[in-house]
Amino acid sequence: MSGADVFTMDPGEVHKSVETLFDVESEVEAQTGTLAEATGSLAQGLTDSSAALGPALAEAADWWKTLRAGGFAGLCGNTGEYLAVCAEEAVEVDDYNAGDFASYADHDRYPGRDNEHASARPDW
Amino acid sequence: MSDMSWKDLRGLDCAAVRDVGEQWKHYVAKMAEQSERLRTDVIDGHLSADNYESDTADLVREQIDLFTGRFEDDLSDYADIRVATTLVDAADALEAEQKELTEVVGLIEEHDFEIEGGPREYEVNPTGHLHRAIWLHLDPPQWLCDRAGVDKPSAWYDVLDQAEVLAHLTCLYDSANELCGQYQDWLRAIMSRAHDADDDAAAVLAAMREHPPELPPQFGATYDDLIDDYKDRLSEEVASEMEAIANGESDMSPEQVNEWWESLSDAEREALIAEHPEWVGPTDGIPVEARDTANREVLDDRIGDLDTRIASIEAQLATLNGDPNAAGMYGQSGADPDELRAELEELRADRDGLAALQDRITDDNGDPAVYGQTDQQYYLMDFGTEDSGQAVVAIGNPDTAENVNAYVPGTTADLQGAAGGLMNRTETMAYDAWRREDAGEETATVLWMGYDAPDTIFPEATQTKWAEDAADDLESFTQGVRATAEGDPSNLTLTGHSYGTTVIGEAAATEGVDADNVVFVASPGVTVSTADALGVGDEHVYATTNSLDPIALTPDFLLGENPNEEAFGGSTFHSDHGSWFTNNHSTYWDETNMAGRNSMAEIVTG
Repeated sequence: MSGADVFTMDPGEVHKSVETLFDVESEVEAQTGTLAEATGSLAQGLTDSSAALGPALAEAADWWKTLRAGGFAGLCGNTGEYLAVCAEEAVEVDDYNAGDFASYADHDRYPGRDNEHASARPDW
Repeated sequence: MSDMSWKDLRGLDCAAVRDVGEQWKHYVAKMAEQSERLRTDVIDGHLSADNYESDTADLVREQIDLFTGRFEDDLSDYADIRVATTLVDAADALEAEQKELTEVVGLIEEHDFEIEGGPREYEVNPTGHLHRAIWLHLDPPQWLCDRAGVDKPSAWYDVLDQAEVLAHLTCLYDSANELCGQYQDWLRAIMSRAHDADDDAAAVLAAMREHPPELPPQFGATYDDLIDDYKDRLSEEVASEMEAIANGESDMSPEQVNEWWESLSDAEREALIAEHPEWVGPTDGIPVEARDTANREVLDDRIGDLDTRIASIEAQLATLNGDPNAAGMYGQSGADPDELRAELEELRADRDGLAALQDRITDDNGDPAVYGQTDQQYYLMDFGTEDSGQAVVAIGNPDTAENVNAYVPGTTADLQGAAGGLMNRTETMAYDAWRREDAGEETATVLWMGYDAPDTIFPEATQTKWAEDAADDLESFTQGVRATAEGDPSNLTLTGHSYGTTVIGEAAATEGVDADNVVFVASPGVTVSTADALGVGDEHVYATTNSLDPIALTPDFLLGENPNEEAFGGSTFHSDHGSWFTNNHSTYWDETNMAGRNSMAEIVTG
């Protein structure tokens, strides 16, 4: 039963959760990028044919990539970083900001997520 | 707005559009695997309560569940239903028009005609080469001589036949111009439908970015302030989406609406029907059973509201200066008795019309009535009191029937008619179809009075504006029938009577109707000069007018070519007239016209 008095954690398992979150973030970004590229190419062809669908499709693909899939990927990353800090500190984390992750980031465990990556986040 | 020229449409790579649509569908499946990883490997796996238990752990699990759910909804609502379906549907629609375009352009070139003008007002005219062949060389092409009934000169010295050509120049030109006019109508109809498909697709994609639901907030300093608001909005989300669909703000096609409806849980669908029947009832793409349940609820409420308003006005009139008949006098409320009386009259007409409709489709126990001759239930698919009133009522369920026949009535159609004579005709068609059906087969017959019909023959029924206003709704209705069909698509026939044929012609030529057959009964004109322009294939276009029907006297310049004429290119079937003393414009579903009724039933039942 959870509550203020309860705290149990297996940091290794939590770190695996973080890895999954970061991996999903990366997969979503990569596959969305590929799809957006193919869609953009089609949209340009349609625009050249004076089809109204062309510009609308280009904007829709960009919107999806940046705000919806991009937003989801960002939430995966943000939650992963928060969890990573929890695992490092092994206590309840009340006041979190992305800078906390930067200071705890383990480059061997999370390759590619360095300080610059974290500091690019909006709540740094 | 779509600015495609006919050359743009001809060169469009529809396969590429479909391919990218399929890529989006594949992407949705791949992304669903990622969201499943978060649920299985994280929430129920590494981050389960066995490995991490605390307030923070609960919070994180809830957060992952929230944003994963949001992504799954986004994948369904946007990536799949909006983007992928829009691309695949647009590819299908544009490809169909592209195919017809190739055919008509081939014919235009083959006949030595040329296309002039802009994308929305194309003209087809004889080329200079054809002009010279007729005028200068007195040697028109063989097809034109055949068409005009003139012998083609066999050589330059065949002066006799050249003299005949000279004598029939007007006839030859009329013949060439008539064909030009038909190809022009056909070309314009193709481009109109292509522009419509293009604009519709663009509108769906633009609308989806207008008011998207927010994503859950990220962890950080403001998380606690934002997360409760997010959860509150989440609970209202389905209703908001339904409202946007019903109001037309989502611009989704009936097929997309159906996909969205099917993506909801049973509880969500039941809640929408119970709490917002006014949105569910009229929406094409929602199954007919659900629409019927919702519309009957709204109909009941609407009649109750009208009773309340009528009682209120009657009370005001009764108390105005103690003299309810006083004209031009003002009581304490400041209301004008003349205005109140006029409003009362309108409200009573609406109330009586709706009550009559309700009586017709409801049995003595208050349950949906059944048409005794065919043992089929009445389904209320839509209704309204705006202008002359609207009513869409099915006898038999179009979602499960093998055949669907939608009857579009003409001038003076109103709510009282929908509950009376127009429903009688609908029942007659249902009965006629039932007599011809094979065992185990069902035909649903729909009275589609989903438009404001002209109130007068002159001047209203001589104008196309009523048909133009109805076109989009009739297109949507046919798409809705397709979208909600269970199993194989039904054999869908649109049967118009009088001005109803003009409505069908206009909708088919400008928006496109997803129908297998169109039947024009007693048509004053269908806005185009050739069956080819209707987009259903000329072999699926039928017309009939009895020999005593004065509608045959309607000049072509008012509402377009009479589809009974041979040059129109459809098929015709015989209808018997009634007695000399009856209005033979309205005898097509009488027992005096069993020949015509049997022909219609044969078309409807395939």
